[in-house]
Amino acid sequence: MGRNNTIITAVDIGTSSIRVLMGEAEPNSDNINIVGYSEKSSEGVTKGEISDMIKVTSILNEAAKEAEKVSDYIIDPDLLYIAVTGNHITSKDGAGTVIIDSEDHVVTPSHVNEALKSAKGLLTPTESVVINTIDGHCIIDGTHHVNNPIGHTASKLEARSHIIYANSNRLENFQNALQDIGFETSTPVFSGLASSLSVLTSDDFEHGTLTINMGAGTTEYLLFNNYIAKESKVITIGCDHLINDLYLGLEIGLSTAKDIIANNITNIRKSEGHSTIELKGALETREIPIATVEKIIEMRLNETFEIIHTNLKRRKLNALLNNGIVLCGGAANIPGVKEIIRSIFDTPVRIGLPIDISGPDILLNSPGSLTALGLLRYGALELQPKKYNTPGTIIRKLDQKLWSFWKKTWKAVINDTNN
Amino acid sequence: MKNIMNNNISSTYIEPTENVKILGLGRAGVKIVNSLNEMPEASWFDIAAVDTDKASIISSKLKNTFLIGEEWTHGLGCGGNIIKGERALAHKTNIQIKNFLTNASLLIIVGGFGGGTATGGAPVVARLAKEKNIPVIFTVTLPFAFEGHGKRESAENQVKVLIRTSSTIIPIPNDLLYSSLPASTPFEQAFKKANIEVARTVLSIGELLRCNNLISVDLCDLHNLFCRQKSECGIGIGIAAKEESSTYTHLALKRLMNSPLLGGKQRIKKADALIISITGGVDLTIAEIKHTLDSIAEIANKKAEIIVGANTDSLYHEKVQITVIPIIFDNSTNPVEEIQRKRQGRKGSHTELIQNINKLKGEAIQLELPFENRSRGIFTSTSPTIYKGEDLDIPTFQRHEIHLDKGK
Repeated sequence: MGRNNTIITAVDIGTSSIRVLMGEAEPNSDNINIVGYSEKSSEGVTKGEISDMIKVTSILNEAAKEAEKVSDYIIDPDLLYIAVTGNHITSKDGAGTVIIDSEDHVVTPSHVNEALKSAKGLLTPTESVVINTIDGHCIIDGTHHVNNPIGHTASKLEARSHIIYANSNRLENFQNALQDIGFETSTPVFSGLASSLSVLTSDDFEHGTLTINMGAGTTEYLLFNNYIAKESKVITIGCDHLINDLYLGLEIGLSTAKDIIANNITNIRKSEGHSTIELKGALETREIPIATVEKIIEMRLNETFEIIHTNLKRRKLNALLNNGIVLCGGAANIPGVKEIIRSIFDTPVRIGLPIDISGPDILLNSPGSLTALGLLRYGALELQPKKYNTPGTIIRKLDQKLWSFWKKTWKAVINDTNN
Repeated sequence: MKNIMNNNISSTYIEPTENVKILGLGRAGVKIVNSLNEMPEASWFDIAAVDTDKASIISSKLKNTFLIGEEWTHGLGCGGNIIKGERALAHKTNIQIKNFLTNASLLIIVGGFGGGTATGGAPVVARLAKEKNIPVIFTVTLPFAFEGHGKRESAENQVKVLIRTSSTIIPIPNDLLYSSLPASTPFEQAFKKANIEVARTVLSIGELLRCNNLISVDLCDLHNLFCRQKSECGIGIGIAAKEESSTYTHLALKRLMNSPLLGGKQRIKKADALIISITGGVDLTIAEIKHTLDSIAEIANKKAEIIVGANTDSLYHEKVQITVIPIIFDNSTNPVEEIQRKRQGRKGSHTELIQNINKLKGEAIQLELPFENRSRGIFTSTSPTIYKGEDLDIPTFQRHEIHLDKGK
């Protein structure tokens, strides 16, 4: 409305809540300013996927209108990003090779582009579409690992790319929800990738960090090491399973179970000096030992993270977690979750905090909104002018300093070769 | 007769590529053979059509057409009578068919079971071929369920008869047509498509066995799979040309999954054995073959036996044809063998010892009650999350049989 700023909108249709965030990418800076947001409790979403389209669209419509009202901007459909998750997400590592046959054997951007193109040219699994690709490092002459090969002298260049696929029908479900409220185009982003982008520093990207995003319906994880995604996966276990466990295990009402998980009842009761949770009925009061509640939660979380650990161990990726684990999503609010993860992975664990984003505290301090914040980051990175497609484009943009360092090195290399 | 004997002695083994003959039996068979004749890739086959029905023979554009049993059916067909069909083919006047079979290295018989000519005639032709030492593969369609139980039964009985003559049979139930085509598909088109699919299967089976195969399969492999026990098959076929898409093998795979006689992707997942055949032009790359096989193997059951044939042919220039035949064994048919195996196991002294120890253990440890009917709570109506055979929607502590203090 008169102002020249570009407004990015992020939509996260989660199992427990639907969020619409509007952010303003500040020019000449990495900072994103939240201008409007709306969070509604979700209905009609199970295990991260839409099960009741009508309910979802009506809530989404409300949320979008509210966000527009708060921000005083209109949602730009060209800059609309939607988080996608569910057990249909799969990933593959692609590799593409290019023979450098120019006279001086110097790698040029076009070589890199060609290698990346063939890396992404993997056959898509049936009924799937590519949602995101994360370009990684290059291998020169079969042995030499280089983050940015431009300017190197080589005879063979191999580029690596991590490709994330989604089932085309299920992906369309997410986009249809947006279409139903009038937004024809939207860019899908894997929610694990979005969470990573919002919380990881350039150091994390380089030295190896696992981002675990445990929401209400699903748990996504994405491992970055040396600027490349090594593994991304979705497990359809989330905080809803904790609620279900309490509901079935303790024979209590569903709303009570929800209350215990969401409002951190165990810690409140503990701090008051009680060892039980009181459930007041009309005629009688039931007392449930806190230890039992904690045991049920602990067993479920242990099992879930153990699955992730085994999956990583199978591919010998658990040794790459030098910078530890960042936990995002609603599960980060559960007491003791950090300790459980630390005991399984033997690495430092921290709760994700958004980087370079300014906005209301209530939003920035809630681990559940990290996916939506990451979508804004993804959008902001897409907006930045593309010089040329180098490996690690998305991530490298985060790290301008390293960028310029490399620039200097190429210049030096080019000068050397010229001399 | 002398002629045949001489042939038998003098004939050395002929490579299957050299003289593959295809015989369409009955009305359905003739239709399939007709659509096969229209395919340029099938030019290396020797194709013939055999029927008791004059109308069906006239409709065929094939060179070799044989109207049989004309003297007493008057070219009107045998009206679903198996005995009539058998007699028509066994009639001594059918020298033509015998002559046609001479020098064949492989015979593929195509027909629709449940009627008369094909159902009755197939064993006769099988016998004829056996006399001449020609290996036979039957590709037969089984009748629709709506055609009545009687037809179905006679078809299934005849399949059993054929198995005894040690032939390779690929039975394809017609009912699969419903399961995968959209309901709005025109009836005529559905049948036409089914005919073409069966014809393509015949083609790909021929390709599978060709001797200059890059990855080859022999007749024994097929026989072993198809004649082991009662089983159900489907066929998925996908063809794509390079001009349609740069990743044309992927497109072919996609078409394969939507193939009407496959019965959906689920059948590949369920299959106990898979026969995969890939035929492409000379320009087919190793990466394309690998990706195709990988993509199918990804869907398939890990324990499934997979038989692969890959072949290149100049007839398939810039084209690729992928065929998958999933075979699902009917496990209900041989529980006897398993019981026998168990009994034999007990006789061995070592296993007896272990079993005794287990018995003792069983007495010492109190067994826990099996918790079969566990509730999945709010996830009752969702697709389950299975990890290593456990349903993760059931609370962890319940799966681990841990008892907790639920409070008062």
